[in-house]
Amino acid sequence: MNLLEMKDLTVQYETDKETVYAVNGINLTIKEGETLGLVGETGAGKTTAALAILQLVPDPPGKIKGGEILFDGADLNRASAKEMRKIRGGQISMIFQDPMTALNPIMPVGEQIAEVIELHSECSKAEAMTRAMRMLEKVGIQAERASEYPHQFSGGMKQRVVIAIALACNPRLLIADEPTTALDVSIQAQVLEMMGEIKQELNTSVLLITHDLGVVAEICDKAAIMYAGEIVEAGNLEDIFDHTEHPYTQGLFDSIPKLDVKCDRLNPIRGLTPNPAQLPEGCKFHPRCPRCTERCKIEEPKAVEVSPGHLVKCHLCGGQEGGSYGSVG
Amino acid sequence: MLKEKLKRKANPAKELDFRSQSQIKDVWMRLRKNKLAMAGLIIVALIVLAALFAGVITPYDFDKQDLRARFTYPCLEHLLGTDNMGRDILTRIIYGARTSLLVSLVAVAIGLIIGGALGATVTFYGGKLEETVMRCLDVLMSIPPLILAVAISASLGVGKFNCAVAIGVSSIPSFARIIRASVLSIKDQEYIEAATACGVSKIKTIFTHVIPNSLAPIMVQGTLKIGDAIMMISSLSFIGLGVQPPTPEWGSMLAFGRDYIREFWPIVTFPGAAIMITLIAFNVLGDGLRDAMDPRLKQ
Repeated sequence: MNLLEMKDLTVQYETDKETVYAVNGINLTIKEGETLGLVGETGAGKTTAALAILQLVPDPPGKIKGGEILFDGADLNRASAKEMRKIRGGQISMIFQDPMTALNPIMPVGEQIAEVIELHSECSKAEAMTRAMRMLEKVGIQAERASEYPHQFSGGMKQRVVIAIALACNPRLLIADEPTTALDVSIQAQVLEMMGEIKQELNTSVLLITHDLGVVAEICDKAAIMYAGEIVEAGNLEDIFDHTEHPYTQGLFDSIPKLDVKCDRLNPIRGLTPNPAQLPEGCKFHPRCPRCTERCKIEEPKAVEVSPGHLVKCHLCGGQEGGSYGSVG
Repeated sequence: MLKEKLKRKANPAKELDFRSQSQIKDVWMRLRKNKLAMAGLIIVALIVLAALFAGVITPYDFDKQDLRARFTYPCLEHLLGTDNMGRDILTRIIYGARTSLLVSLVAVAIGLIIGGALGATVTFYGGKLEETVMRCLDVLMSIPPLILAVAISASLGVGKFNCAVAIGVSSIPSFARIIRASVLSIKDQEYIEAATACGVSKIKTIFTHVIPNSLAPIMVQGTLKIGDAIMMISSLSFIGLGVQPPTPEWGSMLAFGRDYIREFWPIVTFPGAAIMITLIAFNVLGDGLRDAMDPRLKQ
């Protein structure tokens, strides 16, 4: 059963000067209890896609132009404001990137957790507070600290509080927008481990937005690689990590420094991500692609299933004209 | 401390109590460390007590004229002297505190609450609503506050409460403008977005997250406005639209003592000093309160 299904989702930011094509017809599915890693460079449209799920794309200038977001069978794009308020925090919740600014600085953390609980479950304030304290303990913070303010916590602790808020109402889907980017590496591991444990316990599905492939390898079941508002490759971890098809994904892996190979220079993907207001014709990746052909410049590739569940959007893959490379099933 | 907290866990019904109390207690603890603010608080408390127990403190009546003792300089019998009607100035100042404090506090409360809530709400919603309301407030602001207060007061009729309403309404635009500036910077903060992502409604977000975070400048403005309000009451009283004589009121004491300023200095000096001391006390207290309400400054 698919908990979340995005079909052909398109989001654009429209200003008088230009139209920014942030998300261009992406398809994603997340099953119950599954963790999907959404990977891409800065500006690839990952966060916009996530905000679209919660119907929080800043409007104006952002508009969801088309497509469906089916959550448990219901299209969120058609949900009323009131229905959405019930879903936000209750059914779907979000962890923001920067824990330093995601908490209200003048409200004790316990109250901030209790606020969500009060909103989504019919219980008294006192009961909400008790549950908030239990939640704090679950994320590894002593319940006594519930009356302390955000500035009294370290960055990692704050992120734990943010996670406690997000998970307070046992949401069915958790959107984690780069939850560990602002933390240092040792804390990252702790937070990820804790998220993994709680996720198992509550059987929550997770959409993990990140640009760290290591994190994906560690905690995700599936991964989708996003480039310029499109998903260029999607599949399970094995598909992505061992049977990499798309030149962009290949480039991402090549640009990770390796511990066992000594090299003086890193091997990045040349060029920059295209301006989302002026996307190139044909395949969006062609100006940077080392294997670009004439066809890539003109014709936009379609997503092809190279093996069951492994989708790639490239002319060169999966027996499309122009030949294939890598291991095709 | 730990024991108390453990007990709290066992008895959730007590928790709510603890929560609201602890915040007030926190503010109080922080305020107490600020010596200047405490001095302000003590002065304000003294003035309020004096106003409440005016009848007990002074042997004189505020409107009892003693024409034989006009223009007495400060002496043991009349500590601050007497005015042109032979009324004891100290007594009139003490009784005057009742009017001046009450009317100015009510006026500032009206301006602060209505202006603050209105400014914060429309700014948070933004768009056409904000434009419309802020332009209307601009129109109000373009009228000099005194003229506006005179107009409102004249149409409502004289009286203490109407006077407070007139002054309060004329200060709404400035409060709304000030809170708008801080709300503009707060509404794009991530914790506001996070609150929305948790399903908190807009109105609730405004009152639990936006306004508490934008209180600092408006608190200071509020204490400054108390001074403005006292001066405004006196202006209104001077043209007969404020407090009616013989009710003593600091501003009107100044205004009516104006004629004797050259020959007899106590008649304006002491009411003026009363206003000044009150203002400084409120300002210092307001400053301290603002700091105490910000948990980030906790040592």
